[in-house]
Amino acid sequence: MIKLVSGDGAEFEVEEEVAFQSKIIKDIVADADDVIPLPTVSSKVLIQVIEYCRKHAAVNSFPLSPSSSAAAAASSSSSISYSKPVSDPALRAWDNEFVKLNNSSLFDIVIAANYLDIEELVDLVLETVADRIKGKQAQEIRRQFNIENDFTPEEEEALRRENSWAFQNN
Amino acid sequence: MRRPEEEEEEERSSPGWRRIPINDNADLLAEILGRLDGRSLAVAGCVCRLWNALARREAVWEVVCYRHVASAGASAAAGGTRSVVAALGGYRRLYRLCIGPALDRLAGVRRRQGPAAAARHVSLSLALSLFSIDCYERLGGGGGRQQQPPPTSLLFLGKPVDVS
Repeated sequence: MIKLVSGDGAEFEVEEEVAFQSKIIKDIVADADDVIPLPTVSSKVLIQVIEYCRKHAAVNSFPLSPSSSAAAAASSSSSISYSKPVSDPALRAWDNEFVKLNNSSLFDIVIAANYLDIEELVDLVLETVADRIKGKQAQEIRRQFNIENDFTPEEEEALRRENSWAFQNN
Repeated sequence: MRRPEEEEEEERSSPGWRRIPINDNADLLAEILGRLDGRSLAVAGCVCRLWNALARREAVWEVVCYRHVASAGASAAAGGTRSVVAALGGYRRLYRLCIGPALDRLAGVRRRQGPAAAARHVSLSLALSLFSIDCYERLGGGGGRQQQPPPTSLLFLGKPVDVS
């Protein structure tokens, strides 16, 4: 068992295969001890990350069924895609439920996952956020992510002209 | 298109609301923008100054372009291709002039007659070729004197044509 300590002092005991979903933790455990302080990760976020790791560790520990491993091989050999989609449909469905969170929670998770080097989780969250941006107008995006419009009206107009091709509906 | 400002104010001023840290981590934000389609990326560049700076990065557009024209040898050739594309005006320009219009057209084709992966690939390769020709014309044809055919002469081929 490995003990993870969140920034607010909460301790979580997790199995090695769960904790080792994080490459960083794997490296730390290899040459140090089994109590790992994670000062920048709050317990709320750590609970969510552990939940994800637990699920993925459980699924990954079973050998892939022939059909899904064939699908995985096919998807990896075809074109280069930016992310590697999770091949197991049940796990993908679970992932889709997992990311049904508000943007603020998603960012907390992705920052923690990035810090812990859990590649699949980073990928999952970034893809989810990108999907929330696609096809939206700039003002909608600002509202959704609480971003201040720091352009002058003149600059905004110039940008609108420069990118007019993108604003045309096609 | 503008929405009432009050809505925005209300969200921002509600007590205990922590600021969403999307703009605090530019690297992650750049990763997110690289996952958009070209049109959404161009719009994202109009959100604020930080997004604008990131949405101008060649690296981001390169990712977007390659997602559409990836082939088996793409990663191996990427080093050489990058310098050529850079010399010809960059990936952003490449998308804007060729890949984007080609994709729009293909989306229309697909709606009418279902998926045609082979045609799609050929068409995107053609887009790349046209891009090179266009840039070549600019380099060769310019030379101080104004030639009759405008610099974008061959790009008319990027407009709807039946290539099947």
